Amino acid sequence: MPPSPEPIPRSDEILNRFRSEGGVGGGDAHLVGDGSTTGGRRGRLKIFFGMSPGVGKTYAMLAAARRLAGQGVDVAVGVVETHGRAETEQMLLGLDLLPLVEVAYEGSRFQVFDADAAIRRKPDILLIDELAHSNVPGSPGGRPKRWQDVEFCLRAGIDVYTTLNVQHLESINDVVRQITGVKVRETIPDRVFEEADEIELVDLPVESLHERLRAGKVYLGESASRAVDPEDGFFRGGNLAALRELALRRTAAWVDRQMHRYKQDRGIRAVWPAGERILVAVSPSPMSGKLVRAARRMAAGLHADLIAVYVETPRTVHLSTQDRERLEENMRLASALGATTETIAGSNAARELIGFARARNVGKIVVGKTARSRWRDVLLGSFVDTLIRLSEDIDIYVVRGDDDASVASASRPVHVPEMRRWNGYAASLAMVGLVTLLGIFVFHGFELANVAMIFLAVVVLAALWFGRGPAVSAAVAAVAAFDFCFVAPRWTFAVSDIQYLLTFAVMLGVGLLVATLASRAREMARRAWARERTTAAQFAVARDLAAARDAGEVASIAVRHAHDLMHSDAVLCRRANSGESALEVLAASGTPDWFEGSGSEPERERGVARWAIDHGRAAGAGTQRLPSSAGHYIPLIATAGTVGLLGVRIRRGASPDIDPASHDIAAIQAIATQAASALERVMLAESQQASQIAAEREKLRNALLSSVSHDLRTPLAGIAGAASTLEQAGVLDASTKTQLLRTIVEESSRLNDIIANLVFATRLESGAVDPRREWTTVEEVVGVGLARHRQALTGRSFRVDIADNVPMIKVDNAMFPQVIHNLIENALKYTPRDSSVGITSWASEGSVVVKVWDEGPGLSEDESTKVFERFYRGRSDAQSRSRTGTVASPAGMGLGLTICEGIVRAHGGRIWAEPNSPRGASFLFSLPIEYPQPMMPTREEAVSESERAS
Amino acid sequence: MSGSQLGRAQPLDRPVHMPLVLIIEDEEPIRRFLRATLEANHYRVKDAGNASDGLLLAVTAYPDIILLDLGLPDGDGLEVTRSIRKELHVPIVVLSARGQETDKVVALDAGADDYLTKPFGVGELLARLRVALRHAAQRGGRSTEPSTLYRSTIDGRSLAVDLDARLVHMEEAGGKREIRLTPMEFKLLAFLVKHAGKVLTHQMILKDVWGPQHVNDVQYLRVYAGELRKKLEADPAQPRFVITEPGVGYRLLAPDEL
Repeated sequence: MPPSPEPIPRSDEILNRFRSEGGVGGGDAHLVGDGSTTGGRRGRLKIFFGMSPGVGKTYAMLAAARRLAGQGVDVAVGVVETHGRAETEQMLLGLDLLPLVEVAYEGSRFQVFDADAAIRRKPDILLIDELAHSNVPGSPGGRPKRWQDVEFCLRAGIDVYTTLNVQHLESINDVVRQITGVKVRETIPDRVFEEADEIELVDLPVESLHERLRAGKVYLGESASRAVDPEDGFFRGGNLAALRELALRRTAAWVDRQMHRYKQDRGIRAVWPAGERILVAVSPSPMSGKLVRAARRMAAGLHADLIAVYVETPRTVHLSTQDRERLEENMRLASALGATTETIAGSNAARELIGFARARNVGKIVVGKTARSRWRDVLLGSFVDTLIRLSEDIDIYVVRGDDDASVASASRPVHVPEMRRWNGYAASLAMVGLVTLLGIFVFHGFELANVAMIFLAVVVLAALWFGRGPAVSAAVAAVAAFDFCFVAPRWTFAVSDIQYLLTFAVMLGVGLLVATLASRAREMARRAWARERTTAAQFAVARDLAAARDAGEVASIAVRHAHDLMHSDAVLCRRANSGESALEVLAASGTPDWFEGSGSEPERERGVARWAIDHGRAAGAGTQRLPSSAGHYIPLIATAGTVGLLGVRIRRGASPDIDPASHDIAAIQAIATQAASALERVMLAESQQASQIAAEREKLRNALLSSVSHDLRTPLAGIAGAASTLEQAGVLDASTKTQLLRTIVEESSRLNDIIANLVFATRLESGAVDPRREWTTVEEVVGVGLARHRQALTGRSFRVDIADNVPMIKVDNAMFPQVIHNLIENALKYTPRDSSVGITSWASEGSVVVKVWDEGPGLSEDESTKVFERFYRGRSDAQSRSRTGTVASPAGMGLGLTICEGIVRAHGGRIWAEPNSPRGASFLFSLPIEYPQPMMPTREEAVSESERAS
Repeated sequence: MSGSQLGRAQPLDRPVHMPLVLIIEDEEPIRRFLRATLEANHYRVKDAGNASDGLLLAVTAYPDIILLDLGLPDGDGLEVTRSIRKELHVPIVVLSARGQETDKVVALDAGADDYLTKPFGVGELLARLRVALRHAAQRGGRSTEPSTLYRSTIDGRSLAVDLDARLVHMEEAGGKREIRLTPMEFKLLAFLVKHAGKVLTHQMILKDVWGPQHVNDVQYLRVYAGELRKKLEADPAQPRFVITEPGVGYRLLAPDEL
């Protein structure tokens, strides 16, 4: 028996029922079904939930209603806004429409929904469109909002179907306004949504919605004029994408909560995916541990996933040993607290964090409060400020406890990229100017050689801070300023003393040299950092790929990493089996239209990809071949040749960091190399498995053909013989007749069994085993499997033992009992009549195990492995084996166990034999426990009639 | 076609003691065996070897029950079921082979009353016919009020259910005792009792007992059938009262009087 959920008190439910009946006043409301006492329940609410008007919620609701009405369910339409659309109007045909009531308000007349009438009508399911609608004042019932009408109907025990757009949820009203700039006035309390019994998400890709908009298929109400423009208004692509995400997340959160409730009910501890993700920024600081713990508490409260991230920047590449140890300790702590840990690299910690958070759909970032002095923040910019400035829709939580360690201090290079170009030149020239002024007014008594030294120092600083170009310009400017302002004759560029020409030359030369050296040092640091970044990425890829089990998994891992690395769309494909030139896309990230879409550009991209895969050389952007294409394509070359292709879309000019010729390409190349060998590994395994299966099938096919001829004929011979003897009825006495008749019946049923097994064997052989899996219990399967053995089992010592904690299994109910049937048949056949046989079942380590045991002679070690081979027959059959072809086996071709194996495997399980203790043999099979287990009905108390009466 | 009128105009002067069975089956040996068996058991028999003859006889001969093979040469047995059901309320028992569970469910959904899996024994055949005829009679209002009392005996144990009094009793060697059921268990048992002896698909049971929104929650049924068996059966792993029809549904043991 599967564990039943905790008993849930039903008293309040019953109370509610009486209340609602009192309110309705109808004396017939409590006569549910056949008059048993199960009714009185609150109606179930199903919400068809969508991101925006026009996705087809009403249509989906009506379609579901029609389906149910077709099955004989009493469906009534309370109110549905068709907005005059023929498509929707048509869906209403044949449904029972409840009459609307006319209400006058401010000089106009409105047709409104009447909940009381609906309750009097008492349908099984009532459709009430647009949950967030506000009622016209004066509507029947006097409830201002439609959701209150809905609750009223639910309380009366009527199931309600309704529709809702995400922007009408109260808690995200603000968010929606931020995204769309539209303030939604009609909202419903989140509670109504949370408590819904079923949510059906009606989803539509943004492009499709735009198409519908353009085709005029969406009713827009009064806001039509400003909303209709797909480029600018409410239906702008960005808006819709955000609303769609909100809708998806809310639905996911709802499902999560259901799952959570279910898990709590059933005491399941396994970690299930949750909707929300929280990111915590970790640093080598000793305070970071506190920060991680705080984030963990927050994540636990929100049932969110926690990701701990350390951002490595050029400045933090070289941490002290002590810092590195502390960092590792902090990351270990995070990992121990259940967080996923990641190290990312980038030039700007805040920017990288936000980018990473967006890539992983993180909604909240937790960072530590820094203990840095105010003036440093003012001068250099605060990490937290930058983070908040960039965060947009991501919430930033600043928690006390982290001092300013590397994460925060890494915010300094934020100025570098912008200053590198023109500001660098301006700043170095300004520095030269400043020194010139200082020289004129402060150092006028100094030796000219010393002044020259100061100029040189400026050049060196410019080289260090701003790079080569600004340093060269500073050198030239310094020489010019020195000549003009200090070297006699002053205020001219003329030079009286020829020896100053040497000074100029040395100044210029030293300046250029220093500039070159400094910029080279900078370049080396940058490369070292890039290498670090590549290595980290490679390591992560290798780690993930090692766990991949099939080509699809390998592809999606490679694509995800390529995407993360390049911040751009990636795609992994291989040659399709059909058609020599076609490509099969195994995985793609982001919006794959640039590659997979129709039109000339994606077509061209695919052409470039085909070239790359055919020639085994990289092509596309960043290469010599076809560099004008959007993507950079790397063939995945493994030992046996090209196994696939990794393509990355290069975003030109999107970020100065991404230069198609740079280290990023090298990193992508590294991913490609690893993906290639991983892909080859899984493809080899797949093909090996395929050829093994093919060989097995061939063997089975041959064996089947040869056995059909003689094994089927044996019972047939018995039947024919007995029947023809009976034909000469005159010469037989009554007892012989009975005996012959029994032979006919028994042999027929044996023939039937053989045929059943043959059918299964043929299905297994043709690979046509596609189990129609349904939830069921082990008892049920055992019961059906034993049904045809009832005769044989009577009089034998036989028992069934199924542990209480065995969960439900998902199997094909027509196929799976054959396993039990065959195992029992096997046990009965090879054991003496006076020995015990039995079935035991229990749950262990994620599997349900069923054991069919006997106390017969048992199996030899050699036999334990051989029994599942096709047509192997046990010892009691030794005689027939030695005389193959003359005597049929009692086993009906020895197919039984093979079929068990085939059926169990088709269900993802495992079957094996082992000795039974103290004696005999046992055959065991295990099936993985499927999650989530199905929702269970509420446990009730048993009552007898006498108790009920009192 | 005027079949619908014919179907409704039931002649009143038919002999009630010998029901007429219409066999629609293309295999001659099976037809012969069925005819011999049924005539020996006081049924009148008409038979047809293909779908079109069968349909014609169905609307002209006023059979009391139809035995229909699902695999006919000139028409899908399911189509025949639907066509007959459109015109007549006569009970249909479908004959099918093993491994056609989906077809069975579809046939039952299309209006068939029960099925027999080939090969079947005579006892099984006669029991199905009796059950189907009895339920048809109750449905047609031609017998007394449907009985609210159920009693069935097997292996020396008797299950007695009184739907009106909501009482369930088990009589066995050790004596008679009341069985306490939860309201939901009782509702399930009550539905089975009302159709005792007849197969009920999962969907039929779920829709009636748990409501239309639960038609796909087979697990509810599994759990409650299990609970019911624990209370009713001597050995829940080898149930005799609540019988599983693999891949199709459940059947409650036919009452003693049938």
